[in-house]
This record gives sequence, C-alpha cells and structure tokens, in this order.
Amino acid sequence: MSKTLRGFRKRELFLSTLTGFLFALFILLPFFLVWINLIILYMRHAEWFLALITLTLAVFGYLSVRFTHKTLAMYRPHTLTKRERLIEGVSVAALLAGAGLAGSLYFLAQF
Amino acid sequence: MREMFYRHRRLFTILALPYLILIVLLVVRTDARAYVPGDLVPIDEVITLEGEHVHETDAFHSIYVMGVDRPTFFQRGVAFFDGNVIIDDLPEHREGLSDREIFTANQISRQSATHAAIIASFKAAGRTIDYEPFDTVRLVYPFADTTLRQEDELLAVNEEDDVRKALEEAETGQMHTAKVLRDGEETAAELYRHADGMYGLSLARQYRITSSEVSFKVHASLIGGPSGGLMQALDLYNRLSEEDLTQSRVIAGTGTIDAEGRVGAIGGVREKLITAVDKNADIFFIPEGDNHDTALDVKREKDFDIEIIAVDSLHSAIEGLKEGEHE
Repeated sequence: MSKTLRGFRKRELFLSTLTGFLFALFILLPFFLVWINLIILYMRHAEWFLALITLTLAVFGYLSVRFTHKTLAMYRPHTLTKRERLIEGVSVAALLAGAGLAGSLYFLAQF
Repeated sequence: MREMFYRHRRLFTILALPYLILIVLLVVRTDARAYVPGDLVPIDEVITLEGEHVHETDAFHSIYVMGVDRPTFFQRGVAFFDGNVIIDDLPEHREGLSDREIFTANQISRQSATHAAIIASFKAAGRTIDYEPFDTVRLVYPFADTTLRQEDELLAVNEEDDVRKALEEAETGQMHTAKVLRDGEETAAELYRHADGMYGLSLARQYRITSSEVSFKVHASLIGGPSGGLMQALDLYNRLSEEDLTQSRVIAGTGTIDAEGRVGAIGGVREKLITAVDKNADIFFIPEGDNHDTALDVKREKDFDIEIIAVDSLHSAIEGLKEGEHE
C-alpha cells in the first residue's frame, strides 16, 4: 500500500478529513442557521451577523482540523505533534475567516 | 469514521432529538409574513439629476421595511420577543410564489414607481418630459393558464394595442392571444380568462421616458416595491424648482405615485413610522385614508414626536411641505 502525507494512506486521510468536517458541521450547523435566520429578519444589522458567521467559520475550520487529527490518531497514534496540529488548525481557521470576511464585504457592498 | 461515531454514540443518542427539533425550528418555514423596521434611504442615492438649475439636497428620504415571507419558527419566536417585528398572515396573493418571483415583481414595481415619480415631478415643476406608457407582466400566479412570463412587455392582446382595454373586453372562459416583447424579441403568447374574469396575472404600468429637459440617472438597488414613489417625486420636485422647501428638516415618508401625481396606499405603515422616528425624521408623509389613521394610532400609542402629513397627490404634498400642516 502506498503511503502519502506523513505516512498515512490516502483512504485514511480522506476518511479522517470527512469525519472531521462532518463532526464540526454537526456541532456548528445550528449556529450557522441561527445567524442566517437573523440576517434575513434583521437585514439592517447584517454586518453584525456576518461578523458572527465569519467567527463561526473560523471555529468551524479549527474544529474540523482538530477532529480530523483525532480520527487520524486512531490509525497512527502520536504521528503529529501538538504544535503541528495547532498550526494546521489555526491556518485553516484563518483561511475560512478570510473567505468569510471577503464574502461578507461583497454581500454588504450590494446594499 | 465509524469508530469515531461509535466512540461518541451516547452523546449522539442524547442530542439527536433536540438537535433535530432545533434544525426543524430553524429551517421549516411557516405561512406568515414578518414586517421588520428597516431604514431611511436618501433619495439622492436613488436618482441623480444632471443639468443646470438643479440644486441638490439630502433632506428627503424614502423608508423601507423588511417584509420576510414565510418566516421560520425560530424567526417567529424572535418576533415574539421583539415588539417592533410584526407577524401577519401571508397575503393570499403571495401563496405559491417563489422568493425569486416576488423579488422580481418588487423590482418591476420599484422601476415603475421611480419613472412615475420622475414624470410627475417634472410636470409639477414645469419641466418638459416625453414618455410612452406600456404594460409589463409583474407576476404570473400559480392558477394562471398562460404562456406569458414575468417581465414580458405586452404589445397587444387579441391584436388590440390598448392592452388594458382588450383584457377588460376579452370573453371569459376562452383562450386569448397576446403579442409580447421578451428578452428584446417579439413573440406570441396565450392567456386564458377564467369564468370569474381573472387571468391570474398582475400587470405593472411602466413608462419609457424618451426625452427630458434635465437628464437623470436611476441607480440600481436591492430594495424593491413602489412605496418610495411619493418621496422620490417630492425630492425631485424640490431639486427642480427654484425654492428649497426642506428648511433643514429631515423629511421621510411613504406612498405610491403615478405619472399624474396621484398618491396611493402602501403596507407596513407601523414599521415605517417606527423607522422614521428611530432615524430622527422631522416630517412623515403618508397617504390619506387608512394609512393615515394607522400612522396616527401608532404615534399616539408610542407617544412619538413627529409631524405627520396626510396627502392624496404630489400637489398636496408640496403644499403640505410649504405650510407644515399638522395631522
């Protein structure tokens, strides 16, 4: 079997990422829906709820990576250091927050 | 992934039902309509005039309120705790229509009202303006039996150019023919007149302005609906006339208008008045009749300090602004 990133198989990486994504989505979906409900109702305060969506996206990114690593640890314990996990989580969180911010600014520019 | 789920299966079991209930409350929509206070819109951001003898002012504002069709259970719950959000029955004529169709219909109404406001104000200010009226399909209701589409421009019905007359005179219980302009091309369509005289269509009177003494530009906006017409006409009249009627007051109001300057009733009066007071407006223009009565009730109920002027035409609005008539 071919090994890929950090010694994990492609299938292991794929399943772990999917699990991480779904777990984070399970936890944060109600939050996203609440913010969207409130944006629709209070459009004139949209900037506040867009900020909350951006923040939730960042948390989503971090949790997604964290759960991915937890699942990966089931295949190979101690493969990644705590520092590596933290750097990856924060990077994805920042990436999603950036995308959320750009989307929010685009949305607000429509008004 | 399975292992991860097994490891947390107790947590999933406990949370499953409340989680599903929460998602249902946040996603399932109800047959109602929520009215939420919105904001003031300076008219000079909607229409700009270019030319000599035009003075600018930012005193006039139209008011928009948010009408949320089919709010979720969660939104209804929020409205319950927020006294300024009103939940009302979903108007019968909106049932079965998509959000997209309603948005487009509101944009058509807005365009129609803005052009009517330009024409009425130019006439009132003694400026020349040439225009051609025409009719557009604003909405096609689910019960309509027709090949007409939203935004079709009606050129003729049963080979009669006077579309409204032809629709009125067409026999019930029969299919009729129409010539329409769709996406810039002429095409044929059919429409059925039901036994009760209904077509299942809503038409909008539009105006194609061919020339004007002062050039203007209408800016695009996501805010739709015809209720900004009165304030747009009043603002344009003020910009086109010699004297400045504003006297440093913040002037807000609502009401539809037609090309002859007649003012028509609107919805969401309560939220619009709350918005106007919230944004420190000094004067609030409102169509005469039920709209005016509602505004006075809200003013008394909330003890608002705002001057309410009831009008039935652009002319009476201009006079009201000059004289500062009270209630």
